[in-house]
Amino acid sequence: MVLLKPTPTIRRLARDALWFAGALGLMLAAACLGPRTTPVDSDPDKLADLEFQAYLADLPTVTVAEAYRAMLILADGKDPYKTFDERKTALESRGIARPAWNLAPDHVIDKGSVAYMVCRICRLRGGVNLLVFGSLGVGDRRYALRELVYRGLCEDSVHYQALTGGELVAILTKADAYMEKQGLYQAVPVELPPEPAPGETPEWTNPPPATQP
Amino acid sequence: MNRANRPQRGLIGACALAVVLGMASIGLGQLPANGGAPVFQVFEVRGDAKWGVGTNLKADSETGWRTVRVGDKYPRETQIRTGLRTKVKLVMVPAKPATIVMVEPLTLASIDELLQRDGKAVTRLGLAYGAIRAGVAEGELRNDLQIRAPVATLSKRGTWGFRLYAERGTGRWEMSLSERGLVEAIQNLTGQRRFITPGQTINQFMSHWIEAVHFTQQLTVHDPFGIKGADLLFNLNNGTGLGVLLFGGNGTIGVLNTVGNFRIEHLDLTPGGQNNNQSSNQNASSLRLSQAIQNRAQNRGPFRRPDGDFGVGFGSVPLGNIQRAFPARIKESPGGYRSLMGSVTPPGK
Repeated sequence: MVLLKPTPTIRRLARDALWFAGALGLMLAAACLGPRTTPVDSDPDKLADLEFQAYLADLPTVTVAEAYRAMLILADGKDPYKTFDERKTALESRGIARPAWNLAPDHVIDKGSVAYMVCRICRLRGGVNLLVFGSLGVGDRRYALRELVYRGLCEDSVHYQALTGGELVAILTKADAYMEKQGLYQAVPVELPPEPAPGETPEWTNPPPATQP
Repeated sequence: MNRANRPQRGLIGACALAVVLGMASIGLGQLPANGGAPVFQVFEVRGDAKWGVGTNLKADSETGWRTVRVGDKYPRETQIRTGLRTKVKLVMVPAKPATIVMVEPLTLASIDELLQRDGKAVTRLGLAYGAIRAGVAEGELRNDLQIRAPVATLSKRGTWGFRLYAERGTGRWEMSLSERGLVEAIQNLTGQRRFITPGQTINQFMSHWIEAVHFTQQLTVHDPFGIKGADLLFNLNNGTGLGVLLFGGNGTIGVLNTVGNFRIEHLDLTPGGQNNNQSSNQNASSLRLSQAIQNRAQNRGPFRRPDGDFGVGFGSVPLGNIQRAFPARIKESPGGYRSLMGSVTPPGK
């Protein structure tokens, strides 16, 4: 048997192959961040939608279950489901989440997964990388995050990093503003009125009386 | 009926009526009289928002929170929280001066101070996270309005259309002014202050607007008609993305000149520059960049004014196709710019 002598070329090829395999494994292994270890004060399952959104803002990290509920509120304005399995089914059936991720509800979610779901909700097609690799499932979350960064909906970071509740709320705020601007949901426009002329008394200085509860 | 019980029944009835009226007023969002101090009244609501009074409220709890309704009046120490797809518009009553505040979606805000002092209205709004947009009209009374977030403070100077956006726990914030006036941005941690004028924004980096604007929009800060050579090459590569049209390598640089034809810079021609307008397609000699710089340093022409023409319309867009489609009318400047079609007759001749 003739042994292969490790020439410099072979060593360089082996090093490059190991690097590529590691990078590919890292891309595929995104979202494996484990359960959240920091305890929280409230039980999110018992909160209404408005209280749940306020609850998100103070979280040190966000779990998959909390992120899934937030995505449904972003997509529809409300969350009619009661359990994680119902939300997971709803998101996967609409193509917002992918079954291949196989995320556990109590595990911390990564930025890439959230970015992918936001891209799907906001109907952001992305560039060539997101279209090609995203459809293959290899770099879907990585390039979705890059698309959000390009659109100004998210700050630049790595896709496998966990995100805090404040960061999730910021993404939701900007995504909601984007959806409203693009007309992705019906809403009565509410804006500041034009500035009144000096000496003019605008009609909005006489607000309507209180309405009945 | 016992006559002795009639006064007691009347007293009981009056007390019951007072309790009912008091409860009704609270249920309608009408808090007890505020001693004449201004209040914020809800002018418009879209979506799901709640309000509460006090400093011990938990944002993620339902205890102490009530639904925001049009016409509600909120004094100081009132907190307002909104969800997605929700906006609340508040108007200061009495309108001295006319002040309007809009609480944007996914926001937790508070009314910290609301009073009239020393002939002016003092308003302090708190912003835990989210965004507030507001406007203060000119009036007899000045309005000293500030919006305080954990990391930044917005202080206005007679303005309309100013906005503060703050994120929870990330330290990122953004202030902007869209209509009129002057806004002072204060970085709470460092005390650094900066003014912004209408159309400008500022964020946690506290950089001048002109330094940050090119990250959000295409902004030409150089003279696209007057520069050439290494200056033009630098701006093409770093400003417009047109550098991909150029060829390079081996230290050889090709640049687009101000005439519009794709050509290589000829710096070894006669000072008169008679051959400047020859088509580069036939004459593709090139210069090494170091040689080009050396030539310029030794004043070997032809040269335009080194400081350009400050974008006053001389010269042409440095792309041949655009030039042929939209031929520009050129006048000769003191710097000696050439026309697209040949020599130029100076004005008055």
